[in-house]
Formats: sequence, C-alpha cells, structure tokens
Amino acid sequence: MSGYVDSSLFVYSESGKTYLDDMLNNVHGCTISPVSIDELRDNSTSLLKDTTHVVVAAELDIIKEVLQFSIDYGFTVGFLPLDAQKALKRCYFIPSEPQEMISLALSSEPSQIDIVYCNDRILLFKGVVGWVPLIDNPITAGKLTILKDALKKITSLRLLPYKLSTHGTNKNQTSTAACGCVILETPELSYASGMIANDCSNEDAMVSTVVIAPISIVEYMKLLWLRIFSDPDSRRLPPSVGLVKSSEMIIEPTPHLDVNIDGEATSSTPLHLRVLPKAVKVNRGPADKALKARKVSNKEKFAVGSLPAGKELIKAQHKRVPFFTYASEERFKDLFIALRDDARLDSTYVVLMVLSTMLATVGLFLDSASVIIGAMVLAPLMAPIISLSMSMLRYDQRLLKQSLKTVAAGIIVALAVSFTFTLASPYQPLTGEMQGRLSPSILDLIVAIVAGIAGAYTKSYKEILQSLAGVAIAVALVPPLAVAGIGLGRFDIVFFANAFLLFATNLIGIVLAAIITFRVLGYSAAVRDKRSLSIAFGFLLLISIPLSLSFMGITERSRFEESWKHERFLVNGKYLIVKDADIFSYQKRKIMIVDLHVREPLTRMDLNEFKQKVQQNFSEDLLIRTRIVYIP
Amino acid sequence: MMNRLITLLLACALTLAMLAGCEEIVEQKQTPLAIKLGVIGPFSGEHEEWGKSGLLGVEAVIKYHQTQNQKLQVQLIKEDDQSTPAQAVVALEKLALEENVDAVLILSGSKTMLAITEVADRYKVPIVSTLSSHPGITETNWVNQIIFDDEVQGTVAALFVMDELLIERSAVVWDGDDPHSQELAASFKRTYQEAGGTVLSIDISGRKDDTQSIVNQLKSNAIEFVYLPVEVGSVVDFELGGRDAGYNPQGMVSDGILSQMMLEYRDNLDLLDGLLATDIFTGEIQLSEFGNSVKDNLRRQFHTPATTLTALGCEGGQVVLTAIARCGKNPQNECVNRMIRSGNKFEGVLEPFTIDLDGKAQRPVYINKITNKQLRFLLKVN
Repeated sequence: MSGYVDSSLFVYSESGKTYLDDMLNNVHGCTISPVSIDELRDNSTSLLKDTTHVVVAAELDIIKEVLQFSIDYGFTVGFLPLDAQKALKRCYFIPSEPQEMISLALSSEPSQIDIVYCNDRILLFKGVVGWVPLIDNPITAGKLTILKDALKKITSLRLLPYKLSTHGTNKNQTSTAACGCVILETPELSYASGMIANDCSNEDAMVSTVVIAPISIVEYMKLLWLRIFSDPDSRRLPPSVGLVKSSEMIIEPTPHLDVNIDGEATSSTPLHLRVLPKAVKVNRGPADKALKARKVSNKEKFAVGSLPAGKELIKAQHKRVPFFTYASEERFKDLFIALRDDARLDSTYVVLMVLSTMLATVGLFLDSASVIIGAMVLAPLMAPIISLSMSMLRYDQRLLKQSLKTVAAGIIVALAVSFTFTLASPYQPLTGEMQGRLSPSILDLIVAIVAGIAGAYTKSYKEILQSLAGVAIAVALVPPLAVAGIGLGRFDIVFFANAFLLFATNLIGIVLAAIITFRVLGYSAAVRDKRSLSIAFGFLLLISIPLSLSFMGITERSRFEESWKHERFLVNGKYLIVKDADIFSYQKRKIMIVDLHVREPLTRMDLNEFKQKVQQNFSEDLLIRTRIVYIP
Repeated sequence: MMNRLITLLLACALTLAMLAGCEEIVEQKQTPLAIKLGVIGPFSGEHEEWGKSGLLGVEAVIKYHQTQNQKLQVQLIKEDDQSTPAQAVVALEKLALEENVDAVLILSGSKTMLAITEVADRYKVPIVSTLSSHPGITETNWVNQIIFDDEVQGTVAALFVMDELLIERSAVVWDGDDPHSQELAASFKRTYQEAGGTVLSIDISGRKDDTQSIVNQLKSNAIEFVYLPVEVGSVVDFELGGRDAGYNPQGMVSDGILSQMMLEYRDNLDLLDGLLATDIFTGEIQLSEFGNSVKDNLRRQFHTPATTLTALGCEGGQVVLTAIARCGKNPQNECVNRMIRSGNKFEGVLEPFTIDLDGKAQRPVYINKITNKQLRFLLKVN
C-alpha cells in the first residue's frame, strides 16, 4: 500500500462510533471529518460535492446508502466493518486488526467494482428466492448436519413455476420449475458459490443466479450424495442445478415470493436484477492465492438444460415432487433416437432373425449348447423388446406400435423358420436342449426379470452397451421360439405351448423389468399413462400362475427324486437299491421310472412284489418301469 | 337367478354336511364305549424303564382316542411281570380269565414273549407285542408283532453292509443267552454268507466279563465291520473296550439301542456316536398326523419326551384300539384278532403299517447313523 488519501469523510452509525477516535488519530496524517448518517442524509449535497473519499462504519443498509452516494458523487469508499459483518470482511478481504483496517480504509488505491441492483436495491453478497436446499450452506458444514437437514425437508420438497429471462447482450427466456434460486455477486464460502467459482465476481459486469430444481426424490438424493461426498466442481454443474449469468435478468416465480437480499427479506418477486459495471471504487485488501488464481469468465451463461422444461412442467405443478425422476424426450434425445432405430422393422432385422433361428434350430437338433449360444448372441429380438418397454413406460404410441410390430414379426419369422426346418427334416429328435425348454417355471421368470433390468441398464449407458450380448445369452429369446416352432413342426400342441410359455415368460419378464428399470433411472414421461404399466403387471400376474404351478411341480418332483434316493426294497430276500427315480404324467397316467442296483437276478415275482411295495406309497395307480443294473 | 343358484348350492352343501355327520354318528355308535385293555410289562426289576416308557405311549394313545370320542372309556389293567417270563405268564392268565380283557399289550422283550407264545392258545385273547421281534413269537394264532421280525432286520443289516458299504469281511458279536440276539446274528450271518461275504461269529455268552479279549480278537483279524445285535450293556462294554485298544471298526447295532441307552446309560450316550443302527424309527422324517397328535399329548399331559419304546407302546395301543373299533359293538376276541391280522393299515407314528395273517408286521426298516445322541436317517428299506 503505497499511499493514503489526504482527507476523508467518516460516516458512522452508533455501532461504528467505536472507530471514531482511531480514525481521528490515524497515523497516515489523513484529515478525518466525522459525520453521522443522519447528518449525511440531511446535507448530502453540501457534504459530498467536494468529497473524494468516504470511510463508512455502519450497518449494511447504511453502507449501501453510502455506495449509492458514491455512484452519484464519484467518491471512493473505505469500509470499517462492525464485529458482526463477517461477510463484508471476507468479500472485501478486510484485515481483522483495527489499525490495519483503518490503513486499508484510508488507502488511495481503490478497486472498481460492479453494483448489482435487485429491484433497485443494492445487493452486495447474496440474494435468495424461494427455498434453496443442500447447496446454500457453508462448504465446511458437517455431513451429518447436511444429511439430517436434507432428510427432514424431503417431504416438503416442492417445485414452483419460474420464468427466467436475461436482458444482457443475449436475450434468453425459459419457463421452468424450481425450488428456489440463489443470486451470488461475490464469492463466499457456500457450496453454491464453490459450484460457480469461475462465474462469481463483482468485477465481471454480470450477476450469477444458481437455480435448484430436483425433479424427484431420486434426483434430490443424488444431489445430497454429491453434496456430502464431493467438493463443488466449478467445471460441471451437478444434476438438478441451473446457472444463469447476465448483466440483467428477471426472475419471476408463481406465486410471488419474498426475496432475501443480504440476509434481509427486503423485496419480493418479480425480481429485476441489473448490474452497474464498475460503478464504485472501494478499498479492498489483497485476495488469497486461490481466488487470485481463478479465471473469471466474462461470458453470459444460460445453463438451464437440467431444469424441468416442456411437459415436465405439468408434473412440477403437483404438490409434491414424485419419487422417481420423469423426463421429456428432449432430455435423453440420443437414447430415444437409438430406441426408435431398434424398434424399426428392416431387412437386417429379418435376416438376422432368420439366421439366428436357423442356427438355434440346428443347435437344438444337434443338442449343441454352443451352437445355441451362438444363436442367442446373433438374435436381434432383445433390442425391440427394450424399445417396447420404453414405449410402454412413456406411452409413446408411435414407438409402441413400431416395436410391437417388430417383435411380432420376429416371433412369426422364428416360428416359421423352425416349423419349416422341422417339417423338412426327416429326423425329429427330442434332445436334452429341447426338453430343457419345455418346463418353464417361476425361476425362468426371475431370469427374465434380471435380464430385463440388465438390458434396460446397458441400453441407458453407452459405456456398458457391450454387455447386451451377455444379457441376450442369459435370457435366450430365440431358442424357446425355435423349440415352439419345432413343436408346431411335430404337430404337438403341448410341446409348442410349453416352449411358447417360456418365450412369453421371457418377453413379459423383460418388458416389465425394463419398464421399472427405465423408471428408476428417470425416463418416465412427465405426463405418464399408468395403463401400460398396469397391463404389463396384469400379464405378469397371469403368466405367474402357470409358472408357479410348474415350479411347484418341479419342486415336488425334485423332492420326490431326492427322497427316493434313500429308498431301498427287500423283496423275497433280495436287496434292491434305488439309484434314481423319476415320475411324470403321460396321457392321464403317472409313470414312474426307477433305476435299481441289485446283486441277484430278479424274477417276475420279485418285480410284482416290488411294484406292490412301491404302490403302497401312492394313492393313485402307477405304471412302473425299472432299469436294472446288476452288482457283480 | 344368481340368488336362487346360491340358495340351491347352500342347501346341497347343508344336506351333504348332515349326511356326513350322520355317518360319523353311526360310526361312533358302533364303537364300544367301554374297553378293557390289559398291559403286561416290566414295571419293576431289571428293565423297569422299558415298561414305564412303553406304558406312557399306551396312555397317550388312549387319550388320543378319547379326544376323538369323548364317551370312550378304556379300563387299563396293568400287570408287572418284574422282567421275568414266568411272571408274565401268570399275569396273562389273570388278565384273560379274571379280568376278561378285550386284548393284551405286552411291553416286554423276546424272552418273555416266547414264554407267552407257549400259553397264548389257551386263553384265546388277542395279544400284541410291542418290543419283541423274535420270529418265533408269532407261531401261535393269538400273538401279533408290531415291529419287523429279526429275520428281516438281520437280512437288511447284512445286505446293507454287503451291497452298500461293499465290505466283504465282517464280524457278528452276539449273545447266546438272548434269543433276540441269536436270531439277528443267525439271520445276518446266513444272508451275508449267501451274498458271498465271510463272517467271524463271536458268541459273548459266558465271555461278558472278557470284552477286551473279544476286541483284541477282532482287531487281530483286521475286521472292518462289526454287527452288534446285543443288549445295550454289552454294546457299551464293546465300545469302551474298542477305545482302550485303539480299535474303531464301523459298528452296527439293532433296534431300540439308543432308547435303551437313554433310559439306562444316559451318561455314556456319546459312546454310541458313529454307530449304524437298524430301527423302526428315525430322527429326521416328518411324523404322521397321528404321530404328531400323540407326541403333543405326551408333552402336554405327561410332560415327557417320546422315546422309541414310548412310540412302540403308542403304536401297540393304536393297533388294539383300532381293531376293537373295527369289530363294532361287543367285540369278540376272534374278531379283534382277525382285524389285527387283516392286512388293513394302522396309523403309525411315522407312516401306516400292516400286520399280515401270520401276525408279522409289514413296515420299513430304517437304517440310521447315531450322531449327537440322535438317530440320523440314512436309508429306508421297504
């Protein structure tokens, strides 16, 4: 600090009077003319017309009055903050020591700063409109305190319609919905200020407004997570947060709200913000290294992409924010374009369906798991099913029709190919791979649901899209269809029905799981039609009945098989060891196949007695078949 | 229209319910309300605990029947045979001639039952043996077994060792003074040898104080498997001897050993750990509805857990009471005996069983492993 002013007016309030003696006896030889604020108000012209410097020690409203006089009369200003004026000290880098404070206040090297008017009232630090959760608190706030506050208020989370418009170099306007916004003029220690560290300065001829709009509880929780576990990143705005930076803007919520300017509710909306660039010269101390190092951007900003827009605003008018996020199509444009492409029925899709079904059918005939897996990977059926899920979630009728048409075409192609192949084949075996697809159970539904979740998830994130092949293998859509087609070719309706039930299980499981996953990930339409979800659930319930019955049958059968491994028979002094037993129905009769290990040859009499003993365990008549292995 | 249909359905349901109720009344009317049941058992003497334990089962099954038919009166006449066959014969005479009982349950072992068999024809009263598995006891028309006989048990043991454990050389340690043991050993030995195995047979009668030399004999012959169809005291001696000699072959005991051990050698129960056991029951199979009801009765009214001997007492009582009920009003002894041997199913603790015309029970043999003082299920031989 090389120089000091020769003379200065000292404006003080009752609280600032403590500085009077030190000012009058200042070591810089500056002539001090003390004046109370009342005197200044009464005689402003006579007192200020020849004044070049004013030092003020008073409440914030008086300081703002002095700054207004400074704009009118052009004098420079020095501050002597009161004990409670920590923000003033922090923002103007004023030292704590009184003598140093006075030295800075009387310095002759002022800086030019902007003045922001909020509805014609000067804003020095921060203004708040509405409720600004999670970000309008000190960076150093305790994690537990933030968490407690956030959870306490979670039920009262509500968005209000807002109109934001800028009238600076660029004219922008948007209608959105938000909880509230915070207007920042000088960098302070809050999280919000940290987020826009490069856009917050009182020398950039602009004012910055941070808008917060968590459109769902999920989004709110995401923001809470960021708030607790990460430092503010000035390069990227978090989700649910928007930034408007301009020399002039209007903030207009509905209904009108009070506006808190520098800690006092002194105005109300609509809020007109305008910046008077380099309006006053004030004495301020040297900034710390970090602040000096930052590069403040002079560009206007209108970053409102993550704020609700379009149809999303209809949802915002609801009393409370929904649990899951909703979105307009514009928000996830790339994904929707991809889904529309997937839903398209084209020659590539048909060719791939034909090839994968042929491969699957041959694999089934050969009982070759690896060939069937090849068919699963090749099959293009998963993509339109995922599109179908999204179309049902958002009730996008165009996408729904398109994807339904494509899925239906895929089914028909697969059935036709495998049917024709089976008819043409002189040999129609019943292989293990085919049998494995003839008894779907509730477990298959669980596989389909998990695969559906994985399918929707991989589709949503480009970086894991390669996992879709794994999902296709897990759920295996084409092989059951091929088995159903083989059933048609064999003219066996039960064969067809069982295999098709497995396919239907997969289809419904994937669709429902993908709908729910997309919903959790925030792809619900802003205006959602609940019918589609109800239909999917209805189908799920319907298909769960045969699947549960089948599962119970499988469980019972497995329990039976397990228990029979512990059964032995003593027949006419011969010891019969049951190694395996299986029971199944065939044309209304129950057939039991038993694998026996015995030492001695069994006669017809032995087998009759064995049959009688077995029959005692069952209430209905059994057909018993035995396979006998002799122990040497 | 809908209301009419509902009324019609309700009327049909009501009529069916009434008819079903009438049927029950008819059944109850036919069932005699007063039954005299004689029970002979060792309520004092060497095997006092067997008798007491079995009697609990008989009392529990009577309670079970009385819960179902509250007018049923069962007069239970208990006679103590003091663990001696002669006393049992005297008791039978008293029950048959003086008390005029409808049937007699005998809770004693094979020695007593063989003595009873000799005189049973004289009194022509249906007799049900709950414990004895000796094949000889059913040589009369009036004695019936509810457990498989020794012939079956010994055969199962032998074939299990031969065909499942695949051991072709084993030993059988038996007691020549005990007919039950003799039968089991003979059956085991015969079957095992017929199946191609070789058996070292050791009779411990007269050598009961010399267990160590028996153990040493087995050890020196490198026997891997020992069948022990002997009384629980001898099993304990053998196991202790084996421990002392550091000899631990796979052993198998016969039915009821764990229960007898629980009653007579509670402190040494862990000695049986690892032994195989053929038995009527097993620890890990769900009880039948009947078994559960009786088990509840035992817990609620007698505050005692069930042992195999209790369960057998219970099944013996069930056979007698069911057969009497099947004979209707004023049951004749011939009818009751015929009903016992009719081949019709009787409810059992684990599953139903039947008694053939020759008085022998048809029921599975369970092969268990004694683990942690319990019978762990391995196999069921039908």
